[in-house]
Amino acid sequence: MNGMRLAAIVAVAIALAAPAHADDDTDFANQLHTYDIYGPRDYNAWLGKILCDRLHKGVDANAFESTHFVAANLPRGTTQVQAWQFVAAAISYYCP
Amino acid sequence: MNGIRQHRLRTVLRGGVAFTTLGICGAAFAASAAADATDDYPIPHRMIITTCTAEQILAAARDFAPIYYQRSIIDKHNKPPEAQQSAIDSAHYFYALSPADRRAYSEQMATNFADPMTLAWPNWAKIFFNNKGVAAKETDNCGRYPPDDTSLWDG
Repeated sequence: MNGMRLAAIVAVAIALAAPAHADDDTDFANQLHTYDIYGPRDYNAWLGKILCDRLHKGVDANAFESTHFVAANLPRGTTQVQAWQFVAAAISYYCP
Repeated sequence: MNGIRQHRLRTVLRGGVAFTTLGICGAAFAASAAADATDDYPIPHRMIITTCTAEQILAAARDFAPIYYQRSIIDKHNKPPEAQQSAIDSAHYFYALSPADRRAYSEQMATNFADPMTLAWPNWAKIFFNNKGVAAKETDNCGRYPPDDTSLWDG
């Protein structure tokens, strides 16, 4: 009986946990959508991770250079503000 | 009956001569055109005429085609060390050639599938030759980078 109860609790926990912990890339994409930045989710996620890697290695010395890098790799028509928003979101999601 | 057949034969022959003449004219015009489609295959024309080094092109790829660049570096790191080194050597060799020699290399590349470099790592030159859009981004921007930053081969 106790075993059954435990199993039920675990099942409920798993069911509730799944939506709360969608993966980072989806959360990042959703965040971008609030800035009207769309495009392939995996592309944007990888771009965000590369952005952190570049900051870490010193390829980009600061967020200004990151924005320059991002602006060159987002679709044409992306505004400067959106590029900054992308950088800010990428740093909070992917930079350790 | 016989006359009609002969007439038909003559028409066919005349048609054939006209067609051949057209063909010769076509060939003559095609030869005089400055760039035909094969100038881009298997090596894009921009890569044949660029004055950048392999490292400059990699630097431009890192900044302007970053995901393509990362995939290429990951692919490279999954190859044996000898294959990686010969890819670097092959790229240095290619970009040291004159445009005419690069074109000849391109012809050879399209036909010689027993090339040891190709066998060791078929996609070794993908970052340089495979995608015309990427090649355009690379050659548009490569001029502003230092010519000998070898760290770019390791991402």
